[in-house]
Amino acid sequence: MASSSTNKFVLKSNDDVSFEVTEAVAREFQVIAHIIDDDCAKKAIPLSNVTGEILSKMIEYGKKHIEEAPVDEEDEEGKKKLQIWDEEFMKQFNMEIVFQLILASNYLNNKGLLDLTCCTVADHIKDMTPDEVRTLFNVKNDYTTEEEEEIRKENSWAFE
Amino acid sequence: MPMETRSRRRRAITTFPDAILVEILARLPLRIITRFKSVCKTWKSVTESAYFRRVFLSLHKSSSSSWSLMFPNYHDRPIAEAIGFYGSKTWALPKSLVLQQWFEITPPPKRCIGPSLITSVDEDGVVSSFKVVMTDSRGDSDKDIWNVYVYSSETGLWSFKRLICTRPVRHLVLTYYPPQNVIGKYYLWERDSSPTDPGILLAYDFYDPEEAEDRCRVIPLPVPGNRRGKRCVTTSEGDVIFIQLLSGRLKVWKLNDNNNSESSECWQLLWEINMVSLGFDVVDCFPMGMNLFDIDVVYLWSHQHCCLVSGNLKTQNFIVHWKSKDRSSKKGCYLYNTRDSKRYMERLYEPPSIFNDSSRILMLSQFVLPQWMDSVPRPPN
Repeated sequence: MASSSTNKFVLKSNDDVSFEVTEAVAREFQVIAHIIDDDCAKKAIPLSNVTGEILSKMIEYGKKHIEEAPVDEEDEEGKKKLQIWDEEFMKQFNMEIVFQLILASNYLNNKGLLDLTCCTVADHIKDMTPDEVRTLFNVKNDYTTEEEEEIRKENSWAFE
Repeated sequence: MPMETRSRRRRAITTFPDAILVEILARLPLRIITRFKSVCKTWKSVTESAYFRRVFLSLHKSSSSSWSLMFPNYHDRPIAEAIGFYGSKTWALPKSLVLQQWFEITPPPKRCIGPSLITSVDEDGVVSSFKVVMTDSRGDSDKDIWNVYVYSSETGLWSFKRLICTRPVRHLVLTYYPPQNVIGKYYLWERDSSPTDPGILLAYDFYDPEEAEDRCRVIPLPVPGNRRGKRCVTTSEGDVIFIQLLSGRLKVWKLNDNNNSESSECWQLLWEINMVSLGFDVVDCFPMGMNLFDIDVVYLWSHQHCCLVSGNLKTQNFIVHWKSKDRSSKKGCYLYNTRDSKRYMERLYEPPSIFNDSSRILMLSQFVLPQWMDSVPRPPN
């Protein structure tokens, strides 16, 4: 049996970009791990919901987390190093890309990246006004003026 | 063709499924979550769902709502805070939120003492109702009877309850020993009648509908009293905890309260630490209580240094807090109130007083801010 560091798989994005990765990196994504376990991964694994641009970033994240994985639970220094890398990694993206990374890490089921991307959005919006949030998430204010006023009054402490 | 897919995608990304919206919003502090209820109706209903609460709680297991360890109101001094935990940004519900919701309830029909609050909290941390329990001060001549008045937020009325104990109860000292309560259950301590008597806790679950016979459980403390022993009853992580400091050894027991046993065997010894071997001078220390949300953290009063001491039982790391101060950690901010603690704690060392009898046991009140921004339950009008 080939070891997971030498065994290779090809991941194919929905815009036909292929990436060759080691089994260990492929297994960072639960959905792909299941495909491998079910022995359905003979050739390229097509990922219909992910673009090449997003997939390449996800693979970069997966690789780093395999290579620099903390030795154990007690390895505070290792955890810290990876955390700093995560922060730097996220700085390169605008919100549109972060949103796509959230959807893709949810689809491919990578808990670490989902957590990281969701935290990035939460951090980005925490000082925004409700109006700015509506613009970013492209949601419509479906309250009447009275209803909105009522919610503000009930929760006035949160608007101080 | 590539251009077309790109523009389609751009529109699509802005509508997240609710499950992902939950993942994002649950990573915000409660204050911001509350503010964003005004974004749209979907956001409001998503953040008010039970699923959202569960995700939020599981993400923030390591932090907690604000809480305080309080000295009760003795006749000549007001309620004071010994140790408080504030300002965890995630929870950070303002005290004013609670204070805005004061409402007055009528006093019980007879003269009573020792009001204490019991809340019913559901598994998602929402306070669903509360009860106020007061003891009829005149009492019965039969000492195995404990007469109480219970006010329920569900009915808005006081009701009388006659609770039967399986053995006579002689010295219920409600004023000085506030009852400890754990998820609807109520624990009272009876002063020891003799130094070798272990003393007992009375337990009654005011929220258990099966507790039909109105029988109080009598739980003997795990060890007999000792003139030199210093002891306290407290709670942590939803369990009743008994701490004894005797001959330089700190012992911590947890009450395993699931078998309704009435023997001292229901206590499980969690820690036994030889404080002397740690090089820590604890000859004159008094245990005050546990961290409400961390069963590894104990608080002591040092008579010798006249200040508060906090200790982690797992790492055996004890810290002396020389004066009142705020201590920030990444989880929030701790307040150690040395000045007020001194006024209350030093009394335990003065002979003779009600505290300084053979038993030497301490029970402080524990106060926790609600975890959710819902209104305090109110009785029907």
